[in-house]
Amino acid sequence: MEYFVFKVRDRYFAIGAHYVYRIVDDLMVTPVPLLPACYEGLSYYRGELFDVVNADIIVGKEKEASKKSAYIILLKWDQHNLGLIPDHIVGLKWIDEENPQETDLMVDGLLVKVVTPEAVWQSISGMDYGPEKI
Amino acid sequence: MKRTSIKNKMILSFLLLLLIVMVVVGVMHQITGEFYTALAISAALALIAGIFFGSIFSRSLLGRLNSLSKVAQEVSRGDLSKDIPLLSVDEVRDLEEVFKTMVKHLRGMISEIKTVAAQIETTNKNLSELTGKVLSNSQAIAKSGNAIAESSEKQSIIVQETSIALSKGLESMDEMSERSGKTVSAIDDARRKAEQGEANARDTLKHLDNVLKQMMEYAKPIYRLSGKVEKIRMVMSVLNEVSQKTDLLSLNASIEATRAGEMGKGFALVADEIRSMAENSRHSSQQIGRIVEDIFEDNKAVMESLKNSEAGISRGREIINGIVKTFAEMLSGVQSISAEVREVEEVTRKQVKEMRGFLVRFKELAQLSQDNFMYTQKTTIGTKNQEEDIQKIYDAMQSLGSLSKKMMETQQKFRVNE
Repeated sequence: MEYFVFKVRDRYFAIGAHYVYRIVDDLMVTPVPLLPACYEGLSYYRGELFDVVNADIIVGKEKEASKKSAYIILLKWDQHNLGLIPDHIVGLKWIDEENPQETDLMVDGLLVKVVTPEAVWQSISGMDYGPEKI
Repeated sequence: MKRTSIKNKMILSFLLLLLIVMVVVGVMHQITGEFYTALAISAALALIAGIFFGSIFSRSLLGRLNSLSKVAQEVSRGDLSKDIPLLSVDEVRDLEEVFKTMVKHLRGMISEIKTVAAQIETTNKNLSELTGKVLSNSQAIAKSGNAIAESSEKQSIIVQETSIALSKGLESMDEMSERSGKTVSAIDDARRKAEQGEANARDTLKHLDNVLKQMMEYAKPIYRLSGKVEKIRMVMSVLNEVSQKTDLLSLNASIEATRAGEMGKGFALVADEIRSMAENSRHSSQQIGRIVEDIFEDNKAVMESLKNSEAGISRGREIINGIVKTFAEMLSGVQSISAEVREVEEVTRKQVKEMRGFLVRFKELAQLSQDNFMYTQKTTIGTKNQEEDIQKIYDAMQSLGSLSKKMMETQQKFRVNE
């Protein structure tokens, strides 16, 4: 099965290639108030809205200014639209494991953790709201 | 009183005596009638009368002679005040008169001697005073002469020293004038060199200007190059963007292919190829970018160094301009110095001439002061001799004074009624 591999804070993550809708750059992100720090805002791409989150802050759990990557990974699953901003993208990789979610795998010499968009979404929903209070 | 001689007196007395005898004889004869008795008595009477008369006569003569001798004794003691009494009328009176005349003469002589002695004394006094004055004057003259001699000696020493110093000064001034002559020639040399230096600096300036022009010419393509490199960079950035887009496109294509499943496999291969191509082109464009960057950097460095060298050259120009100016200033300075040194040389020459004159004069002065010294020495000797002479005169006058004193004393011994 093919996975899309990207890098966040010196760690490699893989996400199922069938979740990936598109990799885009130069997408305008509109900020939304009263949301967790990792929530960058909303983006409009080809007639659909995407929630854009900063993977850097999710992984590090720090409210630091993210190193803006040029790319946004747009994910689509079960009516969900999510934009993920990684530090760096690696590309599509083939992973043989049947149920790879549980452990870290070695792929082409890289230690990769397989995640699902659902898990990413879940991790966001448990977060505090952002510092900006209206 | 009529004058009578002694002889007549004697004769008269004898006759009177004879008459007396005859009278007595006649009387006796009458009385006595005896002749012889009468004769004897008359003879006795005559003898008695003779003794009586003789004694009276001799007494009067002796008395006068005695008074004369008394007076003579007084005179012999120096008393000329007594007059001789003219008592008799006989031959003794001659003696008395002669004596009186003699005393009178003596008196006059002594009074004359007295006056002469007094005159001598006063003259002597005056003379001795004068001599004393002359002596003191001559001593003063001797002192002054000595002082003059000392001064003239000092003067001559000073003059000699001065003339030595002057001749030394002359030597140094000669040397100075020689040196200033050398300086003038050195300054001329310096002027020539400064002129040459100015010309050289001007040449250098010209060359430098040429170099600057050429450099500007050479620099033009380099400046153009920098513009071109900029353009290349722009093109490169476009290329980069294209490769990025291609990469992204290929990535999306492969994702799309994955979603297509089995049907998309071939497309996925193509997309991979495209992606690797994009990767390659990105690498190449990065390399080109690096090379272009290097070129740009080099160009920048070249431009900078060009600018630097331009600045350096213009600075050099300024410096050389300054050098030219300095040379010109130096030239004018050297010229003025040369004129001044020439003037100094002339003045020094004149001074040397004048000082030579001075030296001759000084030598004359030295001779004069030497002569002066000699003359003053002679004067001193003369004044000493004079002093000695005056001393002798003084001594002589002292003896004259003592003589006049003696004379006065001697004259004092005589008593004269004034």
